[in-house]
Amino acid sequence: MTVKVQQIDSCRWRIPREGAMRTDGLVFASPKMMQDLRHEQALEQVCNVATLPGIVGPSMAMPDIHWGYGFPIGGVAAFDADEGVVSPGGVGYDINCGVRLLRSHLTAEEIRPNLGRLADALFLNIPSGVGSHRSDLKLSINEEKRVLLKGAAWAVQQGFGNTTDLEYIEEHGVIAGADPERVSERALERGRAQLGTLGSGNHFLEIQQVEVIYDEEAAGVLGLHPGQITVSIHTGSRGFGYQVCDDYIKVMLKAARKYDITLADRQLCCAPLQSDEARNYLAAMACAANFAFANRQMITAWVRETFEQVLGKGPDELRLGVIYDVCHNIAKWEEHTVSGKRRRLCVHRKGATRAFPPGHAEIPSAYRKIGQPVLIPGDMGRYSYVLTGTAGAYSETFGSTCHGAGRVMSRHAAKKAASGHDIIGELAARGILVRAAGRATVVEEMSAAYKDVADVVDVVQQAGIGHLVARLRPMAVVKG
Amino acid sequence: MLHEKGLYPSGKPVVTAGKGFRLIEHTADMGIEARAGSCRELLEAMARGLTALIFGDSPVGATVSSKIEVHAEDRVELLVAWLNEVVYWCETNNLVPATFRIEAAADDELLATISGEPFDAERHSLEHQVKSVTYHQACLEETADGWYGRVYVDL
Repeated sequence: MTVKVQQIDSCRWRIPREGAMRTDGLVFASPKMMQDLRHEQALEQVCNVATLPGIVGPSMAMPDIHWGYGFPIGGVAAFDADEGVVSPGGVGYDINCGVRLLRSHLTAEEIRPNLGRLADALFLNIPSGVGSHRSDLKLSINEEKRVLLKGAAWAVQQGFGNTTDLEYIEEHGVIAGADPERVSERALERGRAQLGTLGSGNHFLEIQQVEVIYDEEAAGVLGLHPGQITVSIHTGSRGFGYQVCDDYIKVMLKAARKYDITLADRQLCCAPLQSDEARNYLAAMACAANFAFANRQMITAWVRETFEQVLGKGPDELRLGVIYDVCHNIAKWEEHTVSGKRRRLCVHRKGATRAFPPGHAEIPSAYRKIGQPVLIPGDMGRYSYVLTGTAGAYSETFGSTCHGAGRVMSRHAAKKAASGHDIIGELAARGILVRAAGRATVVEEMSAAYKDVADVVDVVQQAGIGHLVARLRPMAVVKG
Repeated sequence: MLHEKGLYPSGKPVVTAGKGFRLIEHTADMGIEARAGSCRELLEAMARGLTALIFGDSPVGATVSSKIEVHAEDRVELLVAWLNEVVYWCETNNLVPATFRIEAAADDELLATISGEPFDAERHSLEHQVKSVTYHQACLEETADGWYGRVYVDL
């Protein structure tokens, strides 16, 4: 399918409404990115999302757009509370996959002599890798249900971290409306032994140093300064979330038939927001989101313990505090102004991050002056970024922006390209230590397999849907 | 039928091939396609492909077996549901499949036996974590010379 695209400006492209589309598509991309996009199916997916009932505003894609299941990765779409739908394909299998960033009182020079030991200890203490599970922490079903209801607060109550952490997590680490009775026994069984694990693929834990500050005032508010050590955690709801999504795709396929919704793609199956099917999905999705918040909270606690053990310093010296924790696969009820009127919308962000502006009541009071922190991980060989949300994002993209780099090379192509190379050795030579459960994952996740996140963030900055604060350089990466 | 539209086979580069199946490329994930003489053989081949995707080609014994029953609305949903059952069986029991036998299959249901053994890190490898088998471009159809199936897997 050839998708017609009209350039609006240097970073915006319109896909005019035609055929079954109910609205236009709006893609944020550079001219070079758009050239590459024309060769893959992600633009077609933007068009498909535009066919869903009750869509408000355009079907959007952020500059890290690439081919997904149903929605493209990087897809954002909002739906009217009365006329619109909710689609599990607009959230993804890894519900509340997201990123947490910790600051510290350490400098890169201070920890460099101990970096290898730190990396080894983190790899040992935090389960990662294909099939990662904890044999010492298999929850009872009743306890698991408490996790689903309370999210990160459950973890704090068990002694993982402290209540201050909760202030700096999107939704305070718990999405309201979770109902464990809407979750299958399969999902509960799949999730029981996986709480407190990193997983595999593009999930990681990374020790970084602050390399560049773009906005000194905002960096000061976030507690960031050059040479400082930070830690990023990227993981989600593990097998629990994957099963919830799969369960509800079956429900939504039936619902689409029941409510006579024509689907351009089965993975866009959906139900009207006013239906029982939609309410049940959102209640189950909230459970999975809360599982992920608890997961990242537990891993944070183990990161702190590991730093304390290896460096022989206490928490008051290390000051490993949460800067922020964001979701990038989620659907949320939010209020936005559309054509001058406040409306309650169900905003789907699939591989996209909330980016609320300065002054918004839902961001921590300490950050209201500068806007919500937005955490954008790049690949393990280059850099990650910290941004803040903007008024531009709030008015144009329902307060949304990109989430990462996006793959450009298949896993198989990455393996072929890496043949004859010692990827881990090459990274070590550049001062980046890697600890991984398997070489295959490292190869599949190599830098060349991803877009340069700097190009993605450049489009975000140009378009005004995010504001650059800092760049972080990896020093050690733990991968599954 | 997809093959009549010239989309059979997938035309995607082959990553690796095994008994009746091929693993095919995708930018972010991977796909499985297979051809077989009958629908039952096709479903078995697709399951072998999924096993290769997750565990590679380590030799596996058959000390444990389970009966699996799957119900769905149509053939495509049956294929996806069957393969997701295999993922669930492996993950929640910590087992590696050795053989698959489809005892009976219709358009909307199947009965199968999966045999395998407990995962042993010394003898088995874990290549990929599967989040789910997806419906994206999924097909299960009878062709002029047998049956064809394809799915993409979210890794």
